[in-house]
Order: sequence, then structure tokens, then C-alpha cells
Amino acid sequence: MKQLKLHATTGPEARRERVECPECRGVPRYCSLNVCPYFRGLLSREALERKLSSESVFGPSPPTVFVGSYGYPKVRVGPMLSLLDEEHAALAEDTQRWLELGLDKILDIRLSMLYGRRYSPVTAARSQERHVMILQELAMSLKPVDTEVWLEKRPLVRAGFQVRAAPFGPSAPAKRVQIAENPQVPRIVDRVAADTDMKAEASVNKLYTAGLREYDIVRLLSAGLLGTRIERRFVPTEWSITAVDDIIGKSLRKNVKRNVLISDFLFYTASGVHNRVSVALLPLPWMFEVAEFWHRNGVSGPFMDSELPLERDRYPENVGGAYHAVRLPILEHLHKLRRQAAAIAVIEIWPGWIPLGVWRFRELARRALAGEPRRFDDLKELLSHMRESIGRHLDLWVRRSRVLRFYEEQRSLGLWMR
Amino acid sequence: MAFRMRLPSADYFADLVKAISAVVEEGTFTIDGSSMRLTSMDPAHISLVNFELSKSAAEEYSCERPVEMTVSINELYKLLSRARKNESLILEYDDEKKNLTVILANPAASTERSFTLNALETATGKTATPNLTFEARARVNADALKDAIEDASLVSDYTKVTIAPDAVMFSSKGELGTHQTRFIRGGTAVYEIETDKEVSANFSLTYLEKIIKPGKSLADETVIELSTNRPIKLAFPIPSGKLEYLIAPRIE
Repeated sequence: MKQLKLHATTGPEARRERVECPECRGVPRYCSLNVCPYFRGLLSREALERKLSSESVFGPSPPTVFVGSYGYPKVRVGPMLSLLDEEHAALAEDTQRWLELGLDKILDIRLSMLYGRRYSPVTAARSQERHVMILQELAMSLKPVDTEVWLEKRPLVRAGFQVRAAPFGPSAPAKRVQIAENPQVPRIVDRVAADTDMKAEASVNKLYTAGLREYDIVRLLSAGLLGTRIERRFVPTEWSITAVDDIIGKSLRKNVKRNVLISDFLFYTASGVHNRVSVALLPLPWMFEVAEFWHRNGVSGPFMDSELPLERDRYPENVGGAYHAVRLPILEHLHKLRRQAAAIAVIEIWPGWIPLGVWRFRELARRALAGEPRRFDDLKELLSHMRESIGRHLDLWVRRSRVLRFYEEQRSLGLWMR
Repeated sequence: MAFRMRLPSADYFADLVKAISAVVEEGTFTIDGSSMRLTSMDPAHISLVNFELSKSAAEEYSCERPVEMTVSINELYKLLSRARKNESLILEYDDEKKNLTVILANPAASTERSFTLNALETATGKTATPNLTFEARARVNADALKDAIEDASLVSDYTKVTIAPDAVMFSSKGELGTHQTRFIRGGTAVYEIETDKEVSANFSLTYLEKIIKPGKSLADETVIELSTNRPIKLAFPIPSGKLEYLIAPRIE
């Protein structure tokens, strides 16, 4: 079994996912409570002031153990807790329910997350340090846990936006963290976390089959609770999200490749939170391609990555984390249908979107695939419908698509068997 | 025990299984009194492997009745890849228990390691082989062929293979540039060309690469057979056996 790969998030993906806000002109670091429109709906200034002025802050953690990627292998690690109530805390990590909430509400909830960070080498996850043990205990709960954080100084109130993970609110160095109640840990989590001989890949799959939600698995992996002893370390949350999407996707893909082909050309689509995901399934052996378009001062893109039969897996350099995030629900869908198909995902992002993470592709694809598909008899009909539904810019992808080219040009040996 | 075979070199058989795994993840070996054979296509039906190892390759060979043995080729390779240089191999298949025993024996150190591998359900239906005739044939150096394929993959996903009376050529065109390799008749890279006209077809480099890499470690030369816009046949001559592949073309 392979060592998991961790990928830095700099590059084209990071350049595209940027905050476009007239107040801070795309530099969210300069956000301040006074001007940031995203913070306005949040707690009143006085209430926030009161909460943050004391030496320690008390509140429910969803739970969240957040690991930054900057400075790897010495990274920021710490809990996040909600400055709102427990109900909001439970929502703060539940990406599966975010589509219903809408952007404003998600921002409200996320920006009221206080991050108590502490610098730590990633290998400290293996140590028996008190601080680490408390974080790991917190990470193992699947329900919000009341947590208290003692801060070294007054928290900085600005938004921490990222490429793949959701943003957070005020942050400060943490002196001490304490859990104020006994976290309830399901037996399966306890067992997998205690097993230091099981590879991280196997652990992730085991937890997924047991029915855990992806973000729970992401948190466990991030906190260094999965894998063999030597593999265990803090994994930056952004990398962990993609690693989990990739690991689960790969194991589903293995099964999907054994299924029989679908019989029609199918088209699904769903939109929300200024994004749209369209999925086309073709009656061919498993192949996958993502085309990403940004509608911002005209259309930019497509940014494309693909996998063809027998090809070795490589990192989707152009699309980044969105590739694995959208591949997972498609494979889940095919696995459930017990069918095989070639899949094409066209993802579009409109102005108004602010970087809240790759979860929207995963959830929009899920929503699309849950609906009734449009059926077509051949590729030509499918493409003309896609052009109608998506727009003329689709042709930019059609011209460069590796999957379409493969379909049109590659012959099968069956042709010479009749 | 329906089948038992003893081979002098375990790592050679490991290379053979690795070569089969280039195309298929699981496969059915047909074993009878004279040989063990496997013919199988990849799931996308683009390539086919045709493997045969005859009784004469083995030091000991017994097969009571013809059997079909379906195993995971990847898992089998994992076991065989543990083989050391001077180890011999014993394969035993029990068709009642449906398991394959793999024994790695080192006579000098008197050690014996054995693994059993559970067989899989045999998929119904035999793999048919396409009926093909070829207009051109060339014998080329396997190393040179591998280099040509690796060069081509720098610029494109596929390459055009041409056999002309005076040369074997590989040419590719990508978004950013082109590549061409020529093996001219009489040089060291090509041993023999049999054709009276120029024939060519395009093939996926992913498939060519997957097949040529392991094939190269088994044979020094590769026999290429080709017709215009038809499947290509790549054969790696091995002692007391056969290792051939077919790949379907891409047609622009």
C-alpha cells in the first residue's frame, strides 16, 4: 500500500479561489470587524467584545480540530469553538446541510468560530503531550463538545479564508484547552483510532463503510488519529479533505470498474450558492474528466483534468481539490446503481461566490445525481443539450476534451471479433 | 491436487505474471496436460494478452485433468515478487478447495516459503481472439522501443506507428510540439523488416507503455505486426512459451 500523498495548495487553484470583496479588495487579511460586511450579521459588537475580553473563552466545539498548512512541517493546530449556541456549532462542520443554508448563513456560522491555535511539529501527533491528547479526544467525538480555551492575547478579529476548507473567524494563540464534558465516542472510532497497525487508507475506508460523514473522517485524519504508528501526524485540514475524497473514491472506483455499463447517455445538473455542477454519464468504461469554468469578467477556463483507462493516477494539477470532491459522489452514485460509466463533470463558478471550500462541488454533484436525469440516445444529442443548458463556452471544453477524443477515436478489439 | 508444476526460477515467473498484470487485474488460466495458458482482455476491451507456458519450461509438471483457475493477477504478483534470485517455484492448484499454493524454495539454504491464494469465481464465457492478418512485420530491439515510447509520451497521449520497407517509425503530435523516432533498416535497433508497402496506425501510449515496460525485462527483442488502421500485435519471444499482446488503434 502506498504512502498517502499530501499536496500543497499553492498554484492555479489558490489563485482562482480568492475573495472578491469591495471592502478589502481581495485581501481578507485586512478585514476588520468594522468594515467587513460578512461580519456584520454576526454577534453585536458589544457581545463579541464581552465574550473575547475575558481570559478564557467557553463554547461548544462542533468538534473542530483545525490544522493549518502554512509552515509545514511546523503547523498551527488547535480547536475551534462556536461563539454562538450548540445548534449552530453542530451546523458549523456539517457540509452536507450547507446548501440549504445559503451563503449568508454559512458565513455567519463559520465566522463565529474562534480558533485557538498553537504551533506544533506535525509529528507531535504521536506524542503523549497533554495538549495533543486533549485535541485528539475532542476530535473523536461526533457531537458538539463544550470546550474552554485560555488565550494568550486578545484574538484578532478577521476572517481566515482558504482554498479548500471553510473559513473561520477570530483567532488567537491558545495557552490551554480543556474539555468541559465527557465526549461521546462511538465504538468504531475508538477501535480504529486505537489500531496503530492499520494503514490510514484502510482506516478511512473502514470508517466510511461504517457510515461516518466525510468531515468526521477528515477531522480524525487531520488530528493524527488514523494510520499506522509511523504514519500518524497532524495533517493540514485542506490536504486531509482531498486525501479523504481521494481514498474513498479510489476504493469505490475499484468496484465500479467491475460493473456493467449503463445503456443511455445521461445528464444531471444542480446549482446553488453561485455554483453549478453538471454531470454527464456516457455508456463507456470508467473514465473521468472535470472542466472548470469561472464566470468572472467573462469566462475563464476550462481548467481540466482527466483519467483514462489504464492510466496511472496523477495529481489533478489544473483543477486541484475540486477534482476529487466531485469524483466521489459520482462514484458513490454508480456504485449504488451497480453500473459503470464514463463521467464528465462541468463545474461553473459565478461572481458572488466567496471561497468557502470544495464541499459545494461534492454536495452539488450529490444533489444533481439525486434528481431525474435527462436521457439521450447518442453523444450528439447529449452534447447539444449540454450546450443549451450550460452555454456556448462548453465548446471550449469539447475541443480539448481527452475523454471525448478517446471515445471518438479509440476502437475496441471487439470490432475485429465479428 | 489437480495441477502441480515446478519451475527452476521463481523470479522469472514473477516477471511473466507482472507482464500479464499490465493488461488484466484478474484472469483465468487454462491448464491441461501440455501447457498453462491465459487469454484475456482489459475491462475496456482495448488490449488483449495471450500467454502460454508449455510443459517443457517446467522441471516437473503434472496435470490430472484440464482445469480453469481464476486468480487475482495483482495478488499473485505480490506473492511472487517476494521471490529471491536463487529460489525455485512450485505451483499447486487444488480445484476442490479452489486455492493455489505458491511455494518459494531455496535448495541451497533448505528453506521453503509457501503461500496460498484463494481462487476467484470463474467468469462465464471464454475470451474470443480477434481474427487478424498483418501486412507488415518488424523485429526491433526492446530497449530502443521502450525509449521511443517514452519519448513520444512527452508530447502526446498517442503515437503513430509506421512500418515502411526501409524503417520503423514512431511519430506523435501534441498541443505543444511533435516527436519522431526512426529505426532505419540495417541499424542496431531494428533486426528485420518484412513489408512491401508502408503501413501505419495510431495507438494509445498508456497501453504501449504498460505493455512494453514489463515485456522488456523478459525478452531483448519485440516482434511488431501491423496493418493500416488495425490492431497492433506485440510479441515478446520467451523460451518454451508465448507472450503476445494486441492493442486496438485510435482512428482520427
